[in-house]
Amino acid sequence: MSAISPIKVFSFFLLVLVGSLSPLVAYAEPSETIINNGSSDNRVDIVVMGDGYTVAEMQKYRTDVQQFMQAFFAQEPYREYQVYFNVIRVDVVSNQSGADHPEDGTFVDTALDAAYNCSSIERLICINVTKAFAVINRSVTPAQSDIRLVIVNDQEYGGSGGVFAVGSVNSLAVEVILHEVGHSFGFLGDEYGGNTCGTSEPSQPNLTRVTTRSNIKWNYWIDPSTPIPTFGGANGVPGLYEGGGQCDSGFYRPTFNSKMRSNNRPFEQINTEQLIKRMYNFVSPFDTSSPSSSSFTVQRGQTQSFSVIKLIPLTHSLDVTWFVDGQVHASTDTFLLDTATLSVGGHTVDVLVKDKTTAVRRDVQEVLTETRRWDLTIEAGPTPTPTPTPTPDPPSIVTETSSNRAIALNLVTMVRDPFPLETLLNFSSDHRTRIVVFAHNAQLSPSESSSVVTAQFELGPQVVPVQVEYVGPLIGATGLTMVVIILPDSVVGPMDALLSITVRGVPSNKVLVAIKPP
Amino acid sequence: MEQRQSTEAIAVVRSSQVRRGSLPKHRSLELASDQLLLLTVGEGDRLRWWSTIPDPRILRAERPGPDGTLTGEVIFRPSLSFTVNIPDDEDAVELRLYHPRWSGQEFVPVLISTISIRN
Repeated sequence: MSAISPIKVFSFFLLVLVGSLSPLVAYAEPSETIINNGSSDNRVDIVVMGDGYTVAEMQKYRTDVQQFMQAFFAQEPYREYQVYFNVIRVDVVSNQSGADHPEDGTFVDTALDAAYNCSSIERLICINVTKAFAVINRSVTPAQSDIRLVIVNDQEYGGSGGVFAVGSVNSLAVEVILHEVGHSFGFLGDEYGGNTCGTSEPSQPNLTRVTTRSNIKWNYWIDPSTPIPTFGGANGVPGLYEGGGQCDSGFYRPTFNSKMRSNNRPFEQINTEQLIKRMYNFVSPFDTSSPSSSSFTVQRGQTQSFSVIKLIPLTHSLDVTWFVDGQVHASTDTFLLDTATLSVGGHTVDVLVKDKTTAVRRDVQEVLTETRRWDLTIEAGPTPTPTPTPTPDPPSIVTETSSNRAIALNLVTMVRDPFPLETLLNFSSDHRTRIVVFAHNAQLSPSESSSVVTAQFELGPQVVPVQVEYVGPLIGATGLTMVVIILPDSVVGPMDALLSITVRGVPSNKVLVAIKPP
Repeated sequence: MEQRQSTEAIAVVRSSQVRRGSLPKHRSLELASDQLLLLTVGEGDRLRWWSTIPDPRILRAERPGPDGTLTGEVIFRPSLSFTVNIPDDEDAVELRLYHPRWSGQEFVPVLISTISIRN
């Protein structure tokens, strides 16, 4: 570094503005948020002012700002992370057009007193910082001026850096601004030489005096095959290139040529990484999360919804991970917690949102990560109402269509009724006739026996229990159960008997079965 | 390259104003020698708030050579008026401005001014 004024004592005036809820000032320059990506509380806000634009040139000013910001956000990493920024344009009107050129005796009346040849440096444009701060104070909120830009309505190349980045409308102005914002916002050092050298290790993340590979700040970007120091002019190859920090030798930069060294170059890997980390110094990876309360009680069994609204860079997505009591549960933006799976008592729910961009290889401060915790108390729910046992459908013996007569068969002869009470050729010692009827809702569970099914005949007023010998599924007829009944050894009265069965105490319909008189 | 500002600064409150709005916090303290560190403290030197701003005294003059490579210098403006925003915190009694001076190994905050904010 060279020309620091050797002044031992200086003074400056400090205007303290206190953010609060009180009313603001009477007059303010018109302003418009021309890029609005969200609340200024979680964005990097760029405020842009013009100087040397007359009332008649306001449309030109708006066009210049629009084109300027398009060029700004066309370059990485601002392109990828554009949604992390807002841009507020303040319409500052000057009495005259252009800027002062003291070198040729041109002086104009502009709002911010922009002047070339500042400090006798031809391309250096200075503005009146006090006036510029006054405009900002009048026109935007305290959260809307993280980066301050001034565009000067003059075609000659020029600009300056510092608390305000200043550029003209020359085609290279955006390069000036990007470089200067690399200093003021990105904390990057110059990667060019030309002046005297410091003797100690520089603080900037893109400069070093160290030549031992393992101790180089950005060594994790350097391929093992890249020699240290690095020679040659290949762009985009991280290494250790001599010259930087306005020093020609003894200071090293990370790439051969970046925007911190030359116009019209990309920032390259190490500077890009730093700029992304700086963005995350202003911007959390997520805007909001819910529930808003961080501590609450839920009755066990209820479902509790959690959600997070994360930021969305241009070409990649941020990772979301939900933890319950430290265990990973989900990776979606919304998470439904079934509290029935948790014990009564205290639990924690955490969400972690992380940008795993490959453009950042080291994040010691972990600014690319944000977490939030909810303390959840699960309390016992109300005593559950007993679930009523469903009433089983009653068994139903299959009958002929439009009839109450059962479809009943002699088990041996497969002949329909009327049935004799005895059948000699039925292979049983008692010779009593077995008939089979078919019923719905009579299937047995695997643990049940046929004893859960009973049967009876009604013969007029006489009720005669009959033996159920077998209950089982009818193969090929889903839901239909065969019930084999042994006819009683004697009956009196009418020969059309009403047969019914009960299954687990539930009676069936009553169907007609004809008995052949003995 | 590090800045070599004087530490014998005098800051004077020219005026103050109460404004509407919020004042977002930085998520991590990162210092640079061309920044100023602002602190507000309460009774007993209790830290209430902090932030960093570009040091308004520093002006960068950079220009490209014929091959596009930049050259430049840093100009130090000893006297100027600028603005800082601090929270309207009734428990804060003092604003402190520090210059983070780089020692070659770490930043050493050098107090450049102390301003009472509750008169």
